[in-house]
Amino acid sequence: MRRPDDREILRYLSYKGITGETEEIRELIRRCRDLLEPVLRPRSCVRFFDVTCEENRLCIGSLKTDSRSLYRNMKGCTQAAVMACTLGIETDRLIQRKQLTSMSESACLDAMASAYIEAWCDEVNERIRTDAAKENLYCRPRFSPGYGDLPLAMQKEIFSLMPVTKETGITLTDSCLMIPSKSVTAIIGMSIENRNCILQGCEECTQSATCAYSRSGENI
Amino acid sequence: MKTIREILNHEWIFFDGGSGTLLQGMGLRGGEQSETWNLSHPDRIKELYKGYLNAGCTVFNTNTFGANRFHDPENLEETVRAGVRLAHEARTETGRQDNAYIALDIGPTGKLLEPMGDLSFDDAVDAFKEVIRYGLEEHPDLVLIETMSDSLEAKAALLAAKESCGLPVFITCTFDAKGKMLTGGTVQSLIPMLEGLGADAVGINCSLGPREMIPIIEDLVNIASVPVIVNPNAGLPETRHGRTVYKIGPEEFASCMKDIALLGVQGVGGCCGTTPEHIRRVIDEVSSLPFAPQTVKNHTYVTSYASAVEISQTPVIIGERINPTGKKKFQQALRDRNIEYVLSQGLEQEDAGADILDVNVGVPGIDEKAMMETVIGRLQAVTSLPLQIDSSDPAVLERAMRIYNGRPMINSVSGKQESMHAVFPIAKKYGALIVALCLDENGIPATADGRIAIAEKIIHTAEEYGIRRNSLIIDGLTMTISSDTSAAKTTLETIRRAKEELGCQTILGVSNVSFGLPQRSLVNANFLTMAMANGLSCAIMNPNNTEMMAAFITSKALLNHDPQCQTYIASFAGTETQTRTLQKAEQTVTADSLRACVTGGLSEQAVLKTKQALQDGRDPMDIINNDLIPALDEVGQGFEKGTLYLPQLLMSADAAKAAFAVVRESMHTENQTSAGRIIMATVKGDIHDIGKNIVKVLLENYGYDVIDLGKDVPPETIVDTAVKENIQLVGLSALMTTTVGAMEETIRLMRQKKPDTKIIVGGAVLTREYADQIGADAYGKDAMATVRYADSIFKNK
Repeated sequence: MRRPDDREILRYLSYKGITGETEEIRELIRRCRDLLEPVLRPRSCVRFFDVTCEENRLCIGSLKTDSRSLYRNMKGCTQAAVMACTLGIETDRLIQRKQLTSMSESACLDAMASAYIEAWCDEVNERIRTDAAKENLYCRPRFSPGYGDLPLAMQKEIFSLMPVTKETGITLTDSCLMIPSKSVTAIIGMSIENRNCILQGCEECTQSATCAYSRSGENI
Repeated sequence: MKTIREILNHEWIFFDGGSGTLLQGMGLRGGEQSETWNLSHPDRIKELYKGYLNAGCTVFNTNTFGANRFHDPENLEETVRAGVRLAHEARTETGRQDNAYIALDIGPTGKLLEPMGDLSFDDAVDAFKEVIRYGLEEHPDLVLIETMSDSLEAKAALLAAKESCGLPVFITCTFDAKGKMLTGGTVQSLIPMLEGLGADAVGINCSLGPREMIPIIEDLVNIASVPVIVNPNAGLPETRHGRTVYKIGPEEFASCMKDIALLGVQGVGGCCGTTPEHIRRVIDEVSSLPFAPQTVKNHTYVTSYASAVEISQTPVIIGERINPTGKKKFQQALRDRNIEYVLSQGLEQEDAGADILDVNVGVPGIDEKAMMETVIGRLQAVTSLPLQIDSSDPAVLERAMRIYNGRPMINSVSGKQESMHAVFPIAKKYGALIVALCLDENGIPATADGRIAIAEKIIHTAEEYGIRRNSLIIDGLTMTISSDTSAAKTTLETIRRAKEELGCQTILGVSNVSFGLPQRSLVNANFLTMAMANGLSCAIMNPNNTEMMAAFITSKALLNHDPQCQTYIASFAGTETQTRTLQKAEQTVTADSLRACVTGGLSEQAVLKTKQALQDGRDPMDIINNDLIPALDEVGQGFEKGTLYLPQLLMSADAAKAAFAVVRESMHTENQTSAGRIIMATVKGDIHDIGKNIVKVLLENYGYDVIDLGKDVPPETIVDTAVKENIQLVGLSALMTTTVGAMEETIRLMRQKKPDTKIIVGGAVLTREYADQIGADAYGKDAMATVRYADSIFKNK
């Protein structure tokens, strides 16, 4: 998988948009990279489904949702790719282990792993985009449970729609959290119309005003 | 009709193939659970079975793979029973009653087990037992557990099957192209565990095509002593026009399976993407090949969820430090439930070179069984080293064996009848390795002859329980030479003869030899070298001891257990330079102040500097109040103002923590005052606890005692602890919107039962408004906020 650049890692480390970083921070990032990269086990599960609309409810294969945000995102789509990506459970183990010996390394690894899972999602997303282009389909920005009004409970539907656990090892807790913790599921709408959509997750998300990690102002 | 046991390992067994693609061809929709068809479309399920029966397979699976309480809570019993009942009907209707066997198919739950996940081991076993119980009502011929991608879940399923019935139990797991299960297991770590638990056949299925499986199959036949099953997919899945397809056709598949059959496996079939035609061709190709039964292996592995240590010619180190005997600090940590301290002892030994960790948590006044379970679970979350379970209480051993993820090791059994009859049944059931002490009712024999005689008695008795000698590690018993100067010679002779005459692996607790003598490391290191030369397999010792580690590494090189002396060179080349660097570092420290070391996040230098300050006669409280706390405040303010990153704050916190540890060591317990006691917990349903743990470190640095209740903590536990311990402040964390409800519930319960306790909340999704809305007293917007709030509560009193 591709390496995310240091700026992305710094974004996850910084709650308040601090820009300058010290030599100690650069050294910490180098050290954590050496710890993290050997334990990464990036895996993904991707399936394609027809998209239909039943009485204002969006249907993606057998998955049905009333989410207005997803409806807006997918307007005009005839197909959708559903993807699940993870870095694997060894990353969780490493972060937990470091909490016992060095909280600074643990926090840095946690932030770093967030940047890596995003980079891995981008890579899988890019493959989907390339495949779709061959069929003359254009992809919308990926949309995850928890964005906008799409509830986290939607994870259960996604997990029964395709063999996520079998192919990636991602599991759901009773409260719909994913383990390994550095895991992402997303829906990518596909349409024949080339709607050049620049909105990314953060900008479309209703939580962005309060979210500590928001990319606010960067891309729009 | 022959039973399945009669043909197992005597002739080829052919398994069936995939079902998903076939059922989709019959109209099963994506996202629809195929097991529901057992009730809604019984004819189509029979059609599926008949396809494989007509193709000629020996074993076919019931359509119950995904049937369990997590996927299919309604109609579960009916669904499972119908799946088996339809199999009987299909078998009769195809005239295969005499030569086809019905396998009750058990798949994974889809949940991850504790400690990494939220399903307890006992609940997992219960869930599997439930399905097996329903299936047994309809009389299948065997149980086939398949597609397991986590070793602990595989163990839960296998135990459930073994405890439920006397039928043969086969188990196949999935591995990726690198030979790893999804949670890290390997053939070497997994198979000894499964065989120890009594699997009648083991193998691999799904995930890969036949070609990609070959290296893993080679490992399997080398390791396994029971028959090996191989059920691959029809190649790797590919996406074509939005559909998942498997590309290998029947002919090519059969040709690959012929090659695989010749690797020494005993059962072949297919998984995803394979069809009755694939299986028919496989049977055509493989039936006429010469059949080779699986042979019993003599290796000795102790394993964890992801790693395996072979106990053989090359000696290994068993770290002895997780043990309260004679250690006041360790005993106190156990009484205070300071699990982090226990865990850090394990990690330190791993870093120092231990291969296996001994775990002993027996101390008067605590529930040893519960503590053992907690420590094993927490250790296995953070280290993949195999564990040696050390307890004299069979009930503790039993519980530990049950929940342990891997093939465990028991420390220990002796030649006493009572000990053997208590330990062997547990060891047999869970397939553990056992350390066997050469002593019995008459005490410790003074001669090697006497000790070898006891070892023989133990081996003989173990065999009566079905335990082979390669599961026993003979302890020659190290006695101190200060009371009997011939003691070491007797011990060395015992291990040499145990290895040569009895063919057993050996073990010693090395350090006992020097008890009562000066310069103990000197005696220990030399004795270790001699023991290794006499055939010692496992050295129980402290890997943090430099002299003993040097002796261990050097002896390995001298005894030809270190190819190209690589380990020796890596350990000692350039040592002189390192020593010089260390001295230089110490000198540098004197130039900086302790305060600067802490604000700069320099842990090692902060420790050296603190030691120096104490040596110079400074009062510990003076160091805390005038160096450490001001340094933390400085960094904390920088963080709050936004001029420092979180990691900088935490690097300082790590440095301060290390310095505090040095200061506290030097203080009498009665002088150590607490700034206040605070409960910290991540609420029910939430498993993300890094934020809570960060706050905990900061609070501790500011002198607070933190009662850490962990993650996924029910409201009742938090409130009951607050009542029982009379706690004034509780910190709650939640990361996801779905778990804020549990936070609100906790606050509501606290208001009812202990209204005077203040509650501060924090976590990624929380805001001040949200915190007010759920009735919290304060909102911890960042890592420092809880420290400031705690100060406002406790310092104003």
